[in-house]
Amino acid sequence: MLELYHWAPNGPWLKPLIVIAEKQIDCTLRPIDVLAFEQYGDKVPPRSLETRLNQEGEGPLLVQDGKQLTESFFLCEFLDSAFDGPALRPTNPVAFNRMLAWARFSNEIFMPSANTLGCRQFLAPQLAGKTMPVDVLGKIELSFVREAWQRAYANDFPPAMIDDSRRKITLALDRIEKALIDGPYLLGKDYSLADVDAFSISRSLPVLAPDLVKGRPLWADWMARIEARPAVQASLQIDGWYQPENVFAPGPEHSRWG
Amino acid sequence: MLDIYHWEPNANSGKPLLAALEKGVEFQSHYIDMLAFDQHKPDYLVINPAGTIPAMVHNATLIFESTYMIDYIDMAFEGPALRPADPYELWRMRWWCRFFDQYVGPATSQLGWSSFVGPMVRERDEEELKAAIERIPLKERRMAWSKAIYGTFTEEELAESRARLMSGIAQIDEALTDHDAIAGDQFSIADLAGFMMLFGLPVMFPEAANDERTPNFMSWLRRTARRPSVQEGLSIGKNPRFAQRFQELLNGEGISDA
Ligand SMILES: N[C@@H](CCC(=O)N[C@@H](CS)C(=O)NCC(=O)O)C(=O)O
Repeated sequence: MLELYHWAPNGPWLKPLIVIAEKQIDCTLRPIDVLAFEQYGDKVPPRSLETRLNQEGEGPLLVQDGKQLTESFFLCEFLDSAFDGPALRPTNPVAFNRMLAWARFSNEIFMPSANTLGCRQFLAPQLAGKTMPVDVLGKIELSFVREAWQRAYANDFPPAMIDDSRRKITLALDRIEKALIDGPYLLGKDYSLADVDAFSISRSLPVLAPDLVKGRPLWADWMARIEARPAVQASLQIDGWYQPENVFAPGPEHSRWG
Repeated sequence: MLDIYHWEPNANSGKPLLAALEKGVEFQSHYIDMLAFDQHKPDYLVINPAGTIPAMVHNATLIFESTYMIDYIDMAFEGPALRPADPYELWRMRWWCRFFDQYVGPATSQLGWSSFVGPMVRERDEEELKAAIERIPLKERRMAWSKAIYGTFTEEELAESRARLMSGIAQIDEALTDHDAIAGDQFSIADLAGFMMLFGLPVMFPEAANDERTPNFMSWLRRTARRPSVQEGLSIGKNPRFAQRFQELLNGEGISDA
């Protein structure tokens, strides 16, 4: 039995939803309200060592016969290697290396940056005037995840942090634009998990940083092509979310070392 | 032809070296003296524009990211598999690699850079050092060098790194309770990458890693240290500091555990 605990189809939650739809995997979807902290309650099973320490902050949880998995990109790699359906990973070692290098860049540079802007623009206003429930705080093991929630409650996003996030989003967009010159996909001729990842994080950029996505024709065309895929369309409509691209929760830590 | 550009067989530099030795793949070793800033010199930037070590070039193609250089070697060459065939164990391997690279790795490096790398170069000509810092391509790396050279890692960030290592090593110890290797029972990329990141810790930060507190972690380190590939890899170094730590690990308590 396969179950996916997820929130709105955006960012980390969107990635496995797309892969499940692309490969037509038989999976029970279990929506979780992250803002109601259901991920720390009894709607989800008691967490394993690894998933308690989810390096992604808040994100999807996959459970297969009691085995738990988190970390959206690697969870997608698991789905691709464990299930039939169209392959979403290249077999060529160089292309495979490009895919993993993208994942690392995405996890440490791109995702944290989009997430910082998203938490400031969309999460912090929803939390204004409230305080973090103490019992939940006690259940979050990683200090950077606790701090990210508290930052959102306090709406404490110093300008230097915003500037640095925008700088890194520019790096990501440059990297995508460059990869698409050979296109039509990030790794070349085949659609892959790199596209699923980059698309899922990019989807909020027009609202988070409209000035940064201007003048990127290859990116815009690629986004439209991916969005038009039936599996992606279906994923974006899950649970009837209105504007899921505005939904954010604390994500991975910004790279501390490079 | 496989070319590996590396500094000491420690941390990131050690990963592709050990992977090649483990697989029995022939390679050309190029020693890059990190303390002489060889990695920021024009000749090297032609090979790796990011100005980081290690770099690996196979048939004129640059392969990115030390952890994923191991994946590449595993995919592109014959020899014993370094990745589990089971999808869940593959996921565990990825999860722990991320934990090493993003969570305990930066904390270890920070301690190493503040106590060793910084003091090693600090005495040089001030102008020369300033110019050296300005030449560094990546912002994260520029910041790390500047903190190491000027001794400006804050007490707060060093304390945070120590706290991470205290809990992080205990968590690795826990993961090894019912497995011989990090991902499962088979030696994988996670063992190789984790070992390279952490083998100096029992000497550098014995409060976190010792035979009483973290016995599984210690016997895993020693088990890994006894692999012929690791023994051979450690002999490639030029700076006695790393070989010494390696010996101290092997000479330490609990040598009998197999
Ligand atoms: N993500 C890269 C990081 C490489 C990296 O930062 N290497 C460090 C040494 S472990 C480095 O190049 N330091 C030298 C410098 O920053 O100048 C990888 O894993 O290959």
